[in-house]
Amino acid sequence: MHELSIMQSVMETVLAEADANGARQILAIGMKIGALTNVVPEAIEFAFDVLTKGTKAEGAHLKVEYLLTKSSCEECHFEFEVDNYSYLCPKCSSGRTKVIQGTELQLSFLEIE
Amino acid sequence: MQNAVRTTIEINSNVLGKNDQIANKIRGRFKSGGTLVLNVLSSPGSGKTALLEKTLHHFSKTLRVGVVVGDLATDNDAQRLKEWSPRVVPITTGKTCHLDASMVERALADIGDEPLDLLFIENVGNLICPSSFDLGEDSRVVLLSVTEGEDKPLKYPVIFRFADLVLVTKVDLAEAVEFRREAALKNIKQVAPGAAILELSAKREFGLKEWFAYIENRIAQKRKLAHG
Repeated sequence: MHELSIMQSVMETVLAEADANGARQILAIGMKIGALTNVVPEAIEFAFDVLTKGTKAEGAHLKVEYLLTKSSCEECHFEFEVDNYSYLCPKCSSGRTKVIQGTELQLSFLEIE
Repeated sequence: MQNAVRTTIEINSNVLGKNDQIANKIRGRFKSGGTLVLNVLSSPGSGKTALLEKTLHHFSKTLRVGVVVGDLATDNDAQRLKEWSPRVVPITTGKTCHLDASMVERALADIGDEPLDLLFIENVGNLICPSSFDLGEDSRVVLLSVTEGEDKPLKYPVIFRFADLVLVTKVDLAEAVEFRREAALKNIKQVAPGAAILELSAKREFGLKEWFAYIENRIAQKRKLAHG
């Protein structure tokens, strides 16, 4: 959801950083997107294509690391990938679990020349 | 011709960083005064406004309660709530399907400087988008009405996961819609094992005592942190 406004925000930072570093061209943009952010890959790629046109980032490669949802059990300390949104610990069945991965929505890096 | 050097610049910035910055400003504003801030979320029509009407009425003589109410169009909900509290500010978002921290910050400018005991943020009725936006709240309260069905939490797991309290509402209609209560509770506990659960009907005034007690306990906790 909101992939266009997410990408607009990303492009603001990207273009500012590229200019600050005297870049001639942006070759790649790296992001980390967690499964709990509701971001749809096709939509983020579409937004990227649309918003990079006519900018230093046109033709750049969008490299997204999609992160799975992971939780940690506060009772037995087991860390697990969350399967089908069930947050009960698969080892000890405790409900005292904490999300440790999956909410990331990050601009990680830029490749320029 | 100069040889172009391919360089990698590490950034590692949160895309929603601006929102989170404003949310933390809001959080800071209400920390020292011990104001409890609750973000109230649900589908459209789950009973947020009806519940807030009863709540504002109950606390009208004992607590200073403020409300920020979001909707795409109309300020109908704000008008209903103004009957019970002078500190109600509508946010008409136009086309935006959720509240974000900047909208809440702007609305708070109109709520006045009087210290509050409790601030409700009645979010836009939507079980998807609001979950991504920190509004500076202490807790998220997610409503699920019996008319929505017992598998709703499984269908919208992300918003339920981040609920601190799930309110099962309109329980007076449960029999009429053949609501499967045990299944609903099981589903909530699966996607939100850490959430407290209360069942109530605002209209028939069932279960409100426990909801009011929850609020009073949370305010007491917040005050202790502020002054302790």
